[in-house]
Amino acid sequence: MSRTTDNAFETKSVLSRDSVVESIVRLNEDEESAVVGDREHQLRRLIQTLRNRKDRFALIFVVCNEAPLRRKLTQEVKENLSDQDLFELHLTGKENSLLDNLLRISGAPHPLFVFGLENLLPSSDEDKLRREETLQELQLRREQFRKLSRPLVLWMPEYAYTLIGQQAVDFRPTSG
Amino acid sequence: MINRLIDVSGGHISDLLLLVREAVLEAQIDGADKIAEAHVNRSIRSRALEYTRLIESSYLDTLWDVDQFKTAQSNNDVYRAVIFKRLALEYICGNDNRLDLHPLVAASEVYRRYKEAKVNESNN
Repeated sequence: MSRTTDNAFETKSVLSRDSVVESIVRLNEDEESAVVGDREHQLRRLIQTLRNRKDRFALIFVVCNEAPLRRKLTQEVKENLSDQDLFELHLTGKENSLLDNLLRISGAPHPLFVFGLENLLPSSDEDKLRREETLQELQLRREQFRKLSRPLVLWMPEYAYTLIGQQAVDFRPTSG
Repeated sequence: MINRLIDVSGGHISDLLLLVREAVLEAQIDGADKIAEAHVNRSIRSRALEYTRLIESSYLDTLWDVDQFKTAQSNNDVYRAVIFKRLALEYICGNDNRLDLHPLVAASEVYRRYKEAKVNESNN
């Protein structure tokens, strides 16, 4: 005969919302978890993500403001992923459609590293139309990026990342 | 640990899945067989950074109103953006509709500073 124990009906106490928020605040001040912002840690995350998503579509954002650092980090990724060929595309800002250009790059399912996205997201008022067209494409054609069938790594400066997060809100990186 | 991630997600399933996947990624980076508390902490920290980036200064008034009154605000563009970006979450409990800030938003430094200024302002 089966027997239930008190433990089977034990309910876990639910934290109040304020307690949850307080725990996050404490965590945000915790030095150990601050490692997530370190360059070295971010590089390891990128490499692990590319391993996990090998030969499959993945959308990965890398925020990096300095061009020399981008080159250095790209080189480090190449050295750590010797079983994958990395393809590169440098955007100039003259492209009509980001996705159409990406689809023309050969080498799938190997990863595609894209630099110069900021050229399609100019911050000046004169280029507002160009910026809005790009954001609209990211938001409205987001599902079509899956046609790339390869990991897509978009390198961008902080402002472009924030802009996408705020104005092309559904164009989100895939995790892990 | 999973209960902690559920709490932090605000009950939003997409956020919960992202938090779990981030924790798995952190464990992989460490070469660990199991997810440890440190991996969960890093996962939460990463998501917190993502949410902070979504908070525009023009949203702060609306976020403050939601935090204070826990009810839907006037259906203007800012309110819609706040809901659309999951900065505030709507909960349906039977016939009762409730609204609150996403825990990661309520815990963000940018919002807490704004809240502190508002509280000081009303005390003076």
